[in-house]
Amino acid sequence: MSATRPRPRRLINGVIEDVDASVLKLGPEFEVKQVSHDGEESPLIALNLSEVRLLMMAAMRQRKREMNGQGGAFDEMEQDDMDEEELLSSNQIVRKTQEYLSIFARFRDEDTVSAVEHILKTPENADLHPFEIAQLGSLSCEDAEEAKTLIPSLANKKSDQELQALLDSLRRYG
Amino acid sequence: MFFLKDLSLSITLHPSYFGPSMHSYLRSKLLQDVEGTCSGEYGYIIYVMDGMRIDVDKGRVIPGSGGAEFEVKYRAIVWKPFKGEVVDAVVTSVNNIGFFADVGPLGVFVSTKLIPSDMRFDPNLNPPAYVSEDQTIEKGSHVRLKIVGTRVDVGEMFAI
Repeated sequence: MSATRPRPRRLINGVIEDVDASVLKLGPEFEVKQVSHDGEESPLIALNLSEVRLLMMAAMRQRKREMNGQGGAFDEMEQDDMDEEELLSSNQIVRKTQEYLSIFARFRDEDTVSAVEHILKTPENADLHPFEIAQLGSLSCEDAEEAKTLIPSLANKKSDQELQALLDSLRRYG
Repeated sequence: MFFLKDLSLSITLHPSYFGPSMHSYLRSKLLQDVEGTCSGEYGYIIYVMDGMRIDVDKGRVIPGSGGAEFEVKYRAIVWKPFKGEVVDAVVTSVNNIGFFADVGPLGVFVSTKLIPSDMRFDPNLNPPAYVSEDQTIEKGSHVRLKIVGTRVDVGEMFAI
């Protein structure tokens, strides 16, 4: 006989309540302060589409290298040329994600992604939530009004001029 | 929204697997069990980062069965849709009650009630599409949509 855990109130019929990204309520697993494996407090890491695309490509190359390395001699030069098609996974969910990223990632290489990270993660932007920063890096917005419509939580955090300046500097890269 | 999250998984190993390649077996079991899956709490687990040490502790032998239970800690890229989040998507099918679009691994259904009223469904077009003066929504179109609701089922999510 096993004891049943009381169902968390938030989950009713599979519908998760209390979650609303437009007011930055992301649920208990995605709090701004996370606890990492070594028990330390660490910040929530939200990634924009371009960051994820590059991260995955690098991680997959590394994994392929490790797997081939075990089998036989591998040629370092050859492996670095693995392009996106060769890295496509056999798992449907992973593959769909890869295809999605390759269509919608605005910034295509490491240098631009780093530059964008520097633009977004400045001390002036310390009041922005990781979710907002990731959205600004993922959705290309023409103007401050559009950005505030798509990311409503920004409305009272940044003036239109500040936001416009930010968007303009991002647009230089992609 | 994509996040990098620290997660852990309990894997129970039959004694026949104890041996020199136990660590790599655990590692591949982790990847097999977790990558490309979906849960209500974390969303879709897209990719496990192996560069960050996949931490396997010493393991605890289960009294009575002889197997050992390992708590494997890892870092993964997860994707979870949130109500109120705006995302870009690719349309996969269109019909008279709305259209389906894919946001990465997730399928989203947009009903006609939530499509701007200046867009009309035209079934005679090939392919059928929603048309307004300056825009067309058909299979393969890129659209930007706001998620208004999500539902979780075992291993899958649905959204509108």
